[in-house]
Amino acid sequence: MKKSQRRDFLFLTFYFVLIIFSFRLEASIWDYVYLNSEYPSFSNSGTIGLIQMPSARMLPGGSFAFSWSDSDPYQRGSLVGQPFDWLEASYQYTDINNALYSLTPEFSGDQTYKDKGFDIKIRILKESNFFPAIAFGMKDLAGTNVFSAEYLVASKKFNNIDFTLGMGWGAYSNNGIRNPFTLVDQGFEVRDVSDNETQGGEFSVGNWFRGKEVGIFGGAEIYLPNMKGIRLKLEYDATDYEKEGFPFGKDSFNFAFKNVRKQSSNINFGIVYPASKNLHFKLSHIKGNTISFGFSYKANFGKKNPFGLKKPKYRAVEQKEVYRIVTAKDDLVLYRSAIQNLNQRKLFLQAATVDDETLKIVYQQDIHRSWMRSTGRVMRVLHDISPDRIQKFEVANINGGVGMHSITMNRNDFIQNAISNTPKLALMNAEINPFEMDWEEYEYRPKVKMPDLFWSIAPDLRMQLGGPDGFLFGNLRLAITGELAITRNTSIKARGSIGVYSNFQDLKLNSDSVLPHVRTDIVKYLKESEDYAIDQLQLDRFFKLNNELFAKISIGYLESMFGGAGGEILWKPFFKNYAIGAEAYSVKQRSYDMLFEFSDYKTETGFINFYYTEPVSKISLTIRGGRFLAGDSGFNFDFSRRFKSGFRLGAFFSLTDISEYEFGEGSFDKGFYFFIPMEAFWSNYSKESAGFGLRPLTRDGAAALKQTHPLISITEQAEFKNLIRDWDDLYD
Amino acid sequence: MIKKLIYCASIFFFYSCSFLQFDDIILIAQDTFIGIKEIEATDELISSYDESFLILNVKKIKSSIMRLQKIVNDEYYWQSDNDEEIVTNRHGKIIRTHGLLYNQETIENQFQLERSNYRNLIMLKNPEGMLEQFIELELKDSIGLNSYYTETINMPILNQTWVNEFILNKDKFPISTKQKIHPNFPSVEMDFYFKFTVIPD
Repeated sequence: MKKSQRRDFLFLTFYFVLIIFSFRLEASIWDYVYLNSEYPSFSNSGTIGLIQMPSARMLPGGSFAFSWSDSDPYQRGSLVGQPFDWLEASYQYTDINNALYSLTPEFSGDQTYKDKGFDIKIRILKESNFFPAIAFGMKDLAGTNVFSAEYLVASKKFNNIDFTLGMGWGAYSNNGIRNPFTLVDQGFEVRDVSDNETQGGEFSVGNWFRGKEVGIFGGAEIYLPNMKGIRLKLEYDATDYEKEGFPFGKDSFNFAFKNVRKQSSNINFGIVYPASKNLHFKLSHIKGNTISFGFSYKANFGKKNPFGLKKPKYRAVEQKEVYRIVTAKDDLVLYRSAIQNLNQRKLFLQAATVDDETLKIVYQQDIHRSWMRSTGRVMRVLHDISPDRIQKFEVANINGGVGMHSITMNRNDFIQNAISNTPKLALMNAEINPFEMDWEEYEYRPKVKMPDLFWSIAPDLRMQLGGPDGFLFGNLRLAITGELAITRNTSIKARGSIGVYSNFQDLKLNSDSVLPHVRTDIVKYLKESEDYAIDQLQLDRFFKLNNELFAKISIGYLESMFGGAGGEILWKPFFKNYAIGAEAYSVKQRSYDMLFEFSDYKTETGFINFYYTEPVSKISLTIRGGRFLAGDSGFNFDFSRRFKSGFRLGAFFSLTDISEYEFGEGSFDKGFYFFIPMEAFWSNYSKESAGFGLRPLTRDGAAALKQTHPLISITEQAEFKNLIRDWDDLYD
Repeated sequence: MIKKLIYCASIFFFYSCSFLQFDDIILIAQDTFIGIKEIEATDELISSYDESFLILNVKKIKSSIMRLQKIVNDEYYWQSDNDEEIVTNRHGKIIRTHGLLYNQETIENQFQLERSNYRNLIMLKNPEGMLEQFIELELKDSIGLNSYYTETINMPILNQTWVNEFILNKDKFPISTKQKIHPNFPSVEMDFYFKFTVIPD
C-alpha cells in the first residue's frame, strides 16, 4: 500500500469511527449545549460547506451573508444570497496573489489579479431520518473558468456530527475515479478551460460535468459540546490544485509571476468559532502545508424581524372616554381629534367624513413598510376617539396625491380581533378595494401648507471597487436631499453633495467601449464631480387616470449621468398579480462635473414593461423590452423575491441587438441586487432600505435610465396581494 | 490585507450612515460605544411612584423601570412600559420572564429560604430547551437586619455554574438581587422599591 493510500485509508477509518461514536443528546437542549449551532458554516470557497469543499447544507430562505477567507494565494470575498431554502447563489470576488492585474505597470501598477464569478447550489433532496440532504452545485458559473467546478454532494447529520460525501468535476476532480458520464458519451472526456474566443462572462455549458475524472470528497463538521459552539472540521479534499487558478506561474497565465504552492496532503482540518449565531471565525490547515483563515457574517431576512429588535407598539389614545364623549357632540371635533392623534403617530390625515355610521378617513404615511400595520394603527386611533354611533371605519390611503386602496371594517369586528390578536379572522369581514380620490366626497379637508419642504443631510459614499487602478477608490461626501411638494401630486426632488475626502484623482481607467459612452465614462464623472455635484434635480407629477391606470411625468436632471423629460404609464389591475407599463424619455447626457451643463450625446429611450408575481414561489418577474441608452434594443429580464422583513433579492440579465464584441468584456449585461430594510437594524419603524447592485463590469450595452420613483414602486400598496401579504401586521 | 478589510468595513459603515440623520447617529454611537445610561434611583424618582416598582439593569444594554402590577398566589408580576414582564416570588427570585431578549420559565420551583439544596426545572426560551438545575442556597452574611444570600446553580448538561445574589430585608423582601436567567443573557440586576402599607401574606 502506498503512503498516500494508507493515509486515505486511515482517514476513512476515522470518518466511520466518528459516525459510530457521535453522541446523542436531547434535541430540546441541543442549542444550548452546542451554542450558535443553528446554522452551518462556510467553506473557504465562500459557500456553505466544509473547509475547501462544499456540503449539501443551506441557510434558511431569505438569508444573506458575507464571507471572507485567506488561503494562499487567494483572498476571497463572497456575497451569498439564499432566495429559497433550496437555492444558494453567491458572488465571488477573488484576489489571486500569484498574478498581476496586467503586464502594464502604468495601467495597474503592482495590483494583483482579480477574478469575479457566480456560484449556485441547488438542494434536490431534503434531509430526512433515513436519507441525507443532496445538492448539486456549480462554481464560477459565468466567469473566467479559473475556478470552474461542478459537484454532487450529500450531507447527513448524526447527532453532533454532520457528515458530507460528494463527487466533483473540473477543479474538484483530484484523486478521483473515471467520470461516469464518459460511459455514456466519450465526448464528456474533453473539458476545455481556456476560451480565448469570447469576452468571458458566458455560461460554459459545453464544459459542465466534463473531464476524464471526477473527484471524491468528504468530511465532517463536528460540534463540540459545551465549548461555546466551537466546531472542528475534517475533510478529504478533491480540489485539483493543478486545475485551479494559475498553478504553474507564467506557464499557466501570462500575468502570473509565481507558482502556487503544491499540495502535500489531501486531508484538511480546521476549527470554526461562532462568536454569535451569525458571526463565525475560522482557521484551518489545508493542502498539508497552508494555513487559511477567515470569517463570515449572515443574517436571516426571511424573518419578519431579523435581529429581534423591539419596535414601538401602538400607544393607545389617553383619556379615550373623554374623547368619545366630546366627539359624539360634533363631527368637526371628531375630525380634529383624529388629525391630532394620527399626526402624533406620523399617520397624516388628508380628508375625513362621517357617512351615516361610517367614519371615512384618507391618510398617507411614510414610516411603515407594512400597509396593514399603518391601517391597523389608524383604525385603533379611530376606535379610541370615535363615539359609539360610529360602527364602521373606511380607511383609505393615498400616495403622491393618488388613491391607492381602501379597507373597510366593522368597528366591533376590528376591536374584538385586536383583543384576541386574530388578524386572519378580521380579514373575513374586511372589504379591500382600489381607491380613487374624490376630494368632494369628504366633508373635512384640512388645509395643507404648500409648498412643503422636507430635507435631510447625511454622509454619503461613492466608491469604485476592484478596478485595475487599485482595490478601492472612495469619495466621502455630505449629501443634502430635499423634496418640495408643490401640490399633493407634484413635487421637486433634489439631491446635491459636497466632497469631503476623495482619492479618485488616482483613477486612470478610460472607457474602451465602441458604443456611446453612456455608462463607461464613470471614472470621468467620479473625478470631475468629486467636489460638488447636483446628483438629481427633477420635477415629478403623478396622475391616476382611472382605478387601474397610473401615470407620471418627469423633467430635469433625472440621474447623475442623464437629464431630460419623459413619462410613464402603468396599468395595474388591483386584484391581479400582473401589470403592464410603458415609459419613454428624451434624454441628454450630463457633463462630467454633474452640475448644470449637458454634453452632446442625446437619445430617446423607452420600454414596454411587463410585471408578474408568481403566487406560489412569490417570485416577481419583470420583462422590459425596448431601446436602451446607448441606442441598442432588446430585453431586460429581472427576477426577484421579497421576504417578510422587506428584504428583496434579485438577479437580472439583458439581451440586446449588439454583438459580444460591441458589448465588450463580460459578453452581456447581468448582475444581481439586494435591498436591505434599514428598520431591521433599528428599534424604530422605517421604510428606508439600502440597495446594493452588483454588475461584474460597467458596460454601455443594455444600460437603462435610473429612475427615482418608478410607478411600480409608488403604487406598491395599490395591489391586493401586497395588502394580503402584510395582513398579519394589522395588530402589530 | 487588513487595510482592505478596514476599507470594506468603512464602506458599509458610511453607506449605512447615509440612511440616518445626524441626531440618530449620535444616539446610536452613544448606545453602541458607551452603553445605555442606567436609571438612577433618586429620591425624586422613588417618590414619583405610588406603586411598588423595581429598577432593572442589564450590563449597560438595558435599564428600565418595572411596576408591580399584581400579586397572585404569592407571585409578583412586574411590568415595564415596553410590555416586558418579570414574575418573582416574594424574595425576588425570578420565576419567569416575558418580552426580554431571552426568557425563561421555571417549571418546577422549589426555592425556599429554609432549604439549602434543591432542584429546579426550567424552560429556556429562544430557543426552547428544558434544563435541570441543581441549586445550593446559602446565607452568606447578615448586615443589620438585612440578609445576604447566594444561590449557586449548577447545570451539568451545560457544564455551567451561575451564582445569584439576593439582599433581603428583615421581612425577607428583596432590596436588590443579581440573577442570571438565561445562558445567552448577562445577569439581571434588580433594585426593589416596595410601597406596601401592609405586608402581603
